[in-house]
Amino acid sequence: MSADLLHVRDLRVSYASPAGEVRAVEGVSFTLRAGERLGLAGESGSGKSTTALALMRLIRPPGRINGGQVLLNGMDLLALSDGAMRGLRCAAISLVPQGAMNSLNPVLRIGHQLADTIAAHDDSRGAATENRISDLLEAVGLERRVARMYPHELSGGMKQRVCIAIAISLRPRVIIADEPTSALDVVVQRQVIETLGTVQRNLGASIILVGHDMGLMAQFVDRVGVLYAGRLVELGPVRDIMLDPLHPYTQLLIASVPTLESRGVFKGIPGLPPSLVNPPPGCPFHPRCPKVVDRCAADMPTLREVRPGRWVACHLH
Amino acid sequence: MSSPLTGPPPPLLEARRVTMVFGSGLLRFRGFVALEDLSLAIHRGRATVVAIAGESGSGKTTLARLLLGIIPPTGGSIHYNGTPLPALSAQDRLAFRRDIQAIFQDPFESFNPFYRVDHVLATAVRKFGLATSPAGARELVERALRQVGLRPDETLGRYPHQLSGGQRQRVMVARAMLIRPRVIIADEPVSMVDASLRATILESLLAMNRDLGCSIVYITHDLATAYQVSERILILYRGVVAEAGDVDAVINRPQHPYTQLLVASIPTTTGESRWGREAGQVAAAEIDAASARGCRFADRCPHVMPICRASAPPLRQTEPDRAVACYLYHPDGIPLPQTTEPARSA
Repeated sequence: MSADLLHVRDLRVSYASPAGEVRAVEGVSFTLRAGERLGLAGESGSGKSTTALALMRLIRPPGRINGGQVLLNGMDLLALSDGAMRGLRCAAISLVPQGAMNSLNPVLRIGHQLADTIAAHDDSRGAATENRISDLLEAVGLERRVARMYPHELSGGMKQRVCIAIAISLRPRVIIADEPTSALDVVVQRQVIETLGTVQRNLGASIILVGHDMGLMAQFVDRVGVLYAGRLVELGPVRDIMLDPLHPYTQLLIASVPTLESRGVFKGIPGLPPSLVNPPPGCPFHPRCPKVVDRCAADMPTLREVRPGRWVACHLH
Repeated sequence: MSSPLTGPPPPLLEARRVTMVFGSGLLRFRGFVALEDLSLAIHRGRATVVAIAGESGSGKTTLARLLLGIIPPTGGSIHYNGTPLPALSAQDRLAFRRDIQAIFQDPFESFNPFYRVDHVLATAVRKFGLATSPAGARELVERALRQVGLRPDETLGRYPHQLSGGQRQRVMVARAMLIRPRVIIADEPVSMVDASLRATILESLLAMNRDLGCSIVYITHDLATAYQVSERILILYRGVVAEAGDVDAVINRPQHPYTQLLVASIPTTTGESRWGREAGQVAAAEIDAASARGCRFADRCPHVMPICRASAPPLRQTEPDRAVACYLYHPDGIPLPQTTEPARSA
């Protein structure tokens, strides 16, 4: 498929811990098409942030990428030298990290922080850089004068826009946004997400949106992948999944989104996420699954295409 | 000030026209108004759930800290059983500390990392003399933990870092249950908790309201959960109450343009009303909105009128169980003269 931009194949990441190897990502595979918005959803500990970091090759010890391939236009990022990978970060594949707005340097002006990324990758200086900074700020809906301001003078939503500006400063092909709006209220969340969408369309880039909020996924992405215990349990077009989720976990995850229709009804997911050191045998979700059958405790279901474009890892399908 | 949220005295806990201005000291020429002229009453007798909803910087947490007596207001007063907090006797102060409990946003910061989690529970039992014997104390603690869905044998004896965020937050709810307060001030209790656990924690809070007759002040930026748990709601915008009243009325038929914007921005899973594709060019307004005069929402408001920039709209009753601070709903369009500033006459 020529339209596929990014191929992730059997990605495995683990963290060493005193209790044993924490297998945070266990054989995740998916593709990202050119211009596509893909969501990766799951609870904390599902491996969604680890997947995002692994795509950027930013896993730090005690974490380790144990295997798999990340093919960007056919080039395996996991096989590149450190120097070559550094050259691609921001320029080809870019990350808006979780809590990005708290990662801005409090004692440097915004313009300075934007210039850092640009200067690290090419040698435009002076007025050219100034112009690029102004353009970047405008692209994310901020005024030029924000370049002369310090982070503490900006609201949370504005800081998050600055982080998006930094991530797109080198016109990457893939933008990974890890919970870009988790600390913002709904109005600002919507504005930031819409800005992200505009920026993506103008660049012709693809986006991977990582988050736990299925409501946000439904609003923004084209396809969504649901992660549980480090594995993809369902993947498909977001509309189809929201209307007819196949995996019992996806069903519960969607039902747990609070809405204005149901009052005083709380739908949670019973039980707790499994240990990633000693995962339960068979399907990792079987101890919490309301539709569990005998087979679930014995065999691990594989991710299969059960309908065109709909992938699910569940013995019921 | 008359509002549907005040009533016949003396309420158990009451905020009377409180204002909080931060940092009018040496380095700032003008103070930052975190909260302005807010009134709220929790009555004895019928337990209720009041939601305080607003975005970050709207003054939600400041209100929580004021109600708990952690900081004194710069204007107005907080009353417990009709007595202003600073005037409470030592005995009443202890009763206040028992009656009014807090659950904070970050379950990671509520614990001392050097103590086992038993400590926060045992301290509560000891301080308020809840049990007469160590065995009785143990039983109380175990029962409270079970009520929030934690297994005592898996929870007690552990250090905070050995528990997940959701488990820690539930230990804090268990602590509140143990003390059997009359009011719980819950400041964003589920914002750092996963969707699957959010339900358990909100359910525990509602159970306290239902079974133990405890009123809840639920402070949140999440309108959807506020709607699910509360009977009354206050919508805060930059320290000012924009709209207040019965939660059904406010959420289903919002009157203030800010409330309308909030309700429209809640992401739904149906995707039928996918968000528009226009980027919000609002950031500029965010910088300048700190102007003291006029409605604080004027710069973002689609219905802004000249009067909105001239003076702040007062909170006025528009329906028996609702009040709105917006000139669109004052038939005369003329604000009442404010007591704090001289009325501007033409």
